[in-house]
Amino acid sequence: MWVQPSEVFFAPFWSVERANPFFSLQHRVSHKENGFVAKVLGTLDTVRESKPTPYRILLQMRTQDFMMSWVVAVGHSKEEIDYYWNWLDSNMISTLEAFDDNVEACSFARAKVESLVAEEEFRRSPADPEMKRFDEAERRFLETFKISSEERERLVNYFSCSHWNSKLPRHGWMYLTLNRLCFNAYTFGSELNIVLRWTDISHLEHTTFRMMDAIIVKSGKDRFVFCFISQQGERCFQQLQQLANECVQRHLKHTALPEESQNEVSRQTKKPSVRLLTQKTPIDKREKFLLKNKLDTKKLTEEKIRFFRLPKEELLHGHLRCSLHNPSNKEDAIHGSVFCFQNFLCFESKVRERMWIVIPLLEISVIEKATFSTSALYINTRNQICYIFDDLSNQRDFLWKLISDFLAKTSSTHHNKASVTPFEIQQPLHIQFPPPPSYFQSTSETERTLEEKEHAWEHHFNMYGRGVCMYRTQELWDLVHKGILQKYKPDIWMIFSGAIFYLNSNPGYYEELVMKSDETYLDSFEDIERDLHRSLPEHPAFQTDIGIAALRRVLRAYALRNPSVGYCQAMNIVTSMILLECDEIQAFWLLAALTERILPDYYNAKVVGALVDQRVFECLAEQYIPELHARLDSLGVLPMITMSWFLTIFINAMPYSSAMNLVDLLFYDGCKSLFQIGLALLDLNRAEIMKCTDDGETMSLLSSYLERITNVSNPHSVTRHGPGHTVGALANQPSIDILELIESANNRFGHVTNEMIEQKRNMTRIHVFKSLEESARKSVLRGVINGTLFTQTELEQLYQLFVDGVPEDGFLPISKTAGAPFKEQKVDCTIFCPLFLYLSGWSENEKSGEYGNELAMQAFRLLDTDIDGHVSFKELISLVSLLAKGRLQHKLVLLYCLHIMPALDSNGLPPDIPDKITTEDIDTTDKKDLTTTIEKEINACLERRKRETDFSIKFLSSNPPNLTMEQFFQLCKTVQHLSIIKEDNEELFRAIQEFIAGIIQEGRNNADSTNQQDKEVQQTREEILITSPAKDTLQLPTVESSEQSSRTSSSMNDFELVDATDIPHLITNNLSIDLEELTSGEGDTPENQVQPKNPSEDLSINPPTETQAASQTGKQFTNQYYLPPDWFITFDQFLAHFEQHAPLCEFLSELTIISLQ
Amino acid sequence: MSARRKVLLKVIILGDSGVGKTSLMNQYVNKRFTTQYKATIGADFLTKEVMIDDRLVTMQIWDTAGQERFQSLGVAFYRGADCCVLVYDVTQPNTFKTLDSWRDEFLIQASPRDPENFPFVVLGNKVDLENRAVPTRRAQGWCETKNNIPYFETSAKEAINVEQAFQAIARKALEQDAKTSCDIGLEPNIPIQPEPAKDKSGCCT
Repeated sequence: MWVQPSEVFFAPFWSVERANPFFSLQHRVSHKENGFVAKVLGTLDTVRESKPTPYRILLQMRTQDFMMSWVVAVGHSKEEIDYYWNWLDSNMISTLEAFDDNVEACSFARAKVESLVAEEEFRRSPADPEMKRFDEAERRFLETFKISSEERERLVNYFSCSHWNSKLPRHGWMYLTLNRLCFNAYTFGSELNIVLRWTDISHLEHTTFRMMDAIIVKSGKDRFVFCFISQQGERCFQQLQQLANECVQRHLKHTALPEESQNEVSRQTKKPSVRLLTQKTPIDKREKFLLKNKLDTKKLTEEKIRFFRLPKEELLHGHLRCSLHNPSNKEDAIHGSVFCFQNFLCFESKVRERMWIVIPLLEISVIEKATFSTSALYINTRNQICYIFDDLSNQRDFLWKLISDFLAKTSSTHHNKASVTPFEIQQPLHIQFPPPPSYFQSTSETERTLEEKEHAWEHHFNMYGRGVCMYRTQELWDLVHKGILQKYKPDIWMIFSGAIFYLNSNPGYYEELVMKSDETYLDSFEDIERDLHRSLPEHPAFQTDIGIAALRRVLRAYALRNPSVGYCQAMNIVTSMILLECDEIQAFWLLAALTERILPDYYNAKVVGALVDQRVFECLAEQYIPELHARLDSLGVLPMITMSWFLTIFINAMPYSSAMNLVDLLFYDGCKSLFQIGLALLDLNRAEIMKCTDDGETMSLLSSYLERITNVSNPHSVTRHGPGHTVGALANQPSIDILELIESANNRFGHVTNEMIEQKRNMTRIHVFKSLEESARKSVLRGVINGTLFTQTELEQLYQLFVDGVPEDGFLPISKTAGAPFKEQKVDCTIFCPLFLYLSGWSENEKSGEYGNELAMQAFRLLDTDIDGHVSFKELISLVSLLAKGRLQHKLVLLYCLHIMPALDSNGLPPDIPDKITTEDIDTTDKKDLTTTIEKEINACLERRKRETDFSIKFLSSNPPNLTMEQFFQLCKTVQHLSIIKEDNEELFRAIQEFIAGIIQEGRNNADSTNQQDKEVQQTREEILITSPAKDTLQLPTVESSEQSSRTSSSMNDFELVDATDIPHLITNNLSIDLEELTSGEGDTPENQVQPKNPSEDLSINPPTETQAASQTGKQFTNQYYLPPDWFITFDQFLAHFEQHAPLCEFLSELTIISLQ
Repeated sequence: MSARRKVLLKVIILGDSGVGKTSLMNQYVNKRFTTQYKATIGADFLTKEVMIDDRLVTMQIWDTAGQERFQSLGVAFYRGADCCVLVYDVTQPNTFKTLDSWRDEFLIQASPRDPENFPFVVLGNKVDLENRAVPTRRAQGWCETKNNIPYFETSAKEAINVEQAFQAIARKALEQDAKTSCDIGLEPNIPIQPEPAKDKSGCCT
């Protein structure tokens, strides 16, 4: 680009490429070149943040005494700089030459360039220096790691740091992208590149190393230490963690495509993005917004959405400081921040949880600028709650406009759809199934406490409002912790879990799902059905069909909403509990709130979320009750007991009426309450736990303690459940009041916050992910080890390769294996083919590279026995094991089987979608019937194989169908291509020729004998012109008849036009020409490798040039020489012929995969 | 032999959801059957003192969650197991088919010293029901291919064969316990039983 002309004095590192009297084009000595200067320069470049562009154009002014130079243009590439050079050449030189005075010419040139710069800048939006630096870094990154733009690897952030390898630090740059962590250091000629995918990382730690701020990254057995100067370490660590977590979560959500995540990020910021409203700079129209800012935005948005329990899709527009008048005391202004979301206005007090509010913008009825102050704003809601925001300073107008604009747009749309539901919505079950009257013999004392409670609640509602918009105060928190009164439960649960927002914005959604669930069937429905009666069997509501039916509807609807979760045991228990207190629509949305937000991934495949929280719980225990934790750890109890605590919100562990209070807390406070209670439980039993000697004892101790927890205020509890450990003994032991437990949890562990837990979740998610992957790996390997010829280590290497993919230019691709997380991974053909070529050594051999792909497709289909478009590791191993270690016999079967697939059609092109070899595909070829016939046969064959478990003999035990002519030509082609690997082997080549000749003869005999047997085929014989060689193979004889026919080998048929003995020569000539063409085309194979053996070859046959030459050759050949259309050979014949040729056998048995170190 | 250590046998019950693991355990330990069980989440255990050939041993029977997604949690419970009981429902062929994977999963996660000879016992539960779908021969056949696993057909509801099955389980576990304590250098405190479960007298036909 043009630059503001600046004078240069000294240019030792630049070499001149082109020059004319006025300008000189120079390029910078690169560190890739040799020489000392280059090395010094390279080192300097890596240390400095901005690297000068490699090309520049100087304007040079020569006078008698001196020379002056100005840089006028710089370029990152030769092309770029050439463009400017050419422009100068064609537009400037002639003008400049017209000047008499050199000085004048130069000043003209400078002025011209200046105007060009101005013009260019005008066109470009003004870029801030940070942007520029970032651009620079991104370019440097792409260059260093040779990332093609296709790969769409985008830089998120970069840090200057040093990597400590053994004893020496290497200074360099750390680049973070959406998929990878990269590090590059260049010091005096030696370059160090580290590339890690986020999925490779098993451990991240922020610590100090030799008194320095350091981050330790572990990947497999490798450990990397990066040290930071200045305060960058913390920031970098957070970003590392965020990116690694995003990656893990992408995996969990099964959308492993990096593009999608980019879209997700950009979608978030396409709308006005987060920034401080106080910031003056408007969001400019720059398309390119820094990715790291996007990620920061995302992080803040997520954090606040979690805090205010807003719908996940909400967008944060911005936030500003203000104060809110306390309705209970007009003098009291609560300081905090107001957050503007797309559909919500929220406030959070500076003092944690003192007060916060969430106002859906739709609820606002009036917004007014206060008169008493220039910085205050009144807001009134539809249900008459009033807020006074103050200290908005100069942002008041902005906020006012934002909200009134919103209201103006949406004022009239207040949907009040009263939809008719096709089934009766179940009301809270406790209404229909009240506790037996005996429970109402409550004393006057309990009645009085109830009354007092109700009074307190009513008082709060009067003071702070009711419903979504209520002031959420510390007082309310106190009330909730004493237990929510039954009649308020549904409202409070819905509001504080955020479920209410989903319910309001999706009217009729649940009803629709229920209707749909009547028509559809999911596998999980079976699981649901089995568990309906095993949910809360002790409650009368679930002993009748009333409760059961409601439970069934909710669980099925949820399974339909979220198929990736489907149904997980424990959801039934939690849901039945909710159904006692809420109607079923509310229950549905509360369940969604739990599984999707409060307890994320809990009920996922492999209950990942619960595993994560188990670890988090252990971390917290270690931190707060270290002694006890050490004891429990040595007993190994925690993982056993906490699983049911977390998954069922303690409902399985304690009487449900007590657990009900914990559900209150969970919905009100979020997940922290579970952790606090868990810690308190352990702490309260400290003395006893320390005395325990084994895991069983500890577990009994804790379970009996939990079973004794009662709810005094709600005596609906005495029912016992589950297998009691200490039945009978319970009566003698004192019971514990749940409220006491809650209070003790608050006092002792009240400082455990949701943010803390979220942070720890992020820390441990990677560990859990890795260990699950590890166990999946183990079980896959165990599944194959018995049926293979590989050793354990070889298998492990292969598995790694299978999961990682084939490295491209030293870069491991972003893992694209499919399959549910932590189950057997599968690959589709786009990954399989390179893998196959890599393993078979085919990729080394460029000459037949293209053909290799075709063969790989064949192999893919052969392996994809369940036709799901994916190949599992087990399936891959069955092939590779034969290739690498199989005996000759095995390999021959494999070679044969690879060609019985209906794959390559007349165009020689494999159908695009390998998994759907259905009629659509076949329609594209003109051999529909044939393909379907073969298809059927193959499918039958595959069916047979599927049933066989020992896959190493899979290929052997099957009885492959016969080869048609076309298939055989394909096979010949494969053999030929394979033989290229072996150079200069004339003997082998001759053997191939002879082999082919033999087979062709045999096949002809087969055809003849079949024809003789079957008189009806006579007609076909009379048709001299064959349109397609394969068409007539419709009359493919059954295996039995062909065997017969091969036995009754007949004499030559007079009907043929060419002497049969010529045919082998002709065909081999053709193939060899084909081969020659291929080899000579590539150039570096000795020409004499392939020599036409027959001087009397028919030159009228044009050598085909395409890669599918062989099949074309075959066709041409058939067309010209009228090979019988029903030519075929059987497997046995193939074997017999092959084994006659020693060099061939030798060659094939030697052939092995080469890339296993 | 007076200084015998107290013997605690750890037995793990595995099998698909709803085959009756909890019921079997409760029938054996508490001699009762009820339809009012909650689905087991995580794991739970009961203990029972049993006499085996004049020896008093404590059996710690671990009941586990059956849904497949809980399989990976096993590693915490399987540690130190002496015997593994695989349960399937004779009316549900699928629950029989998954025995293989339950066995594999157990061996991977528990990683016992000698996986080939680790004692398993297979129980076909719910024989009281009419709609039986897995023939005895098929189950027996499978057990034979897996190193002759003892096989019992039980009904937790009717208390058929439960006692016998758990007796055999206890014996197997005791045998294994003796073996492992030998391995870790403890005094072998019981004579190794001469192939107690070879006879299939306990199996119903």
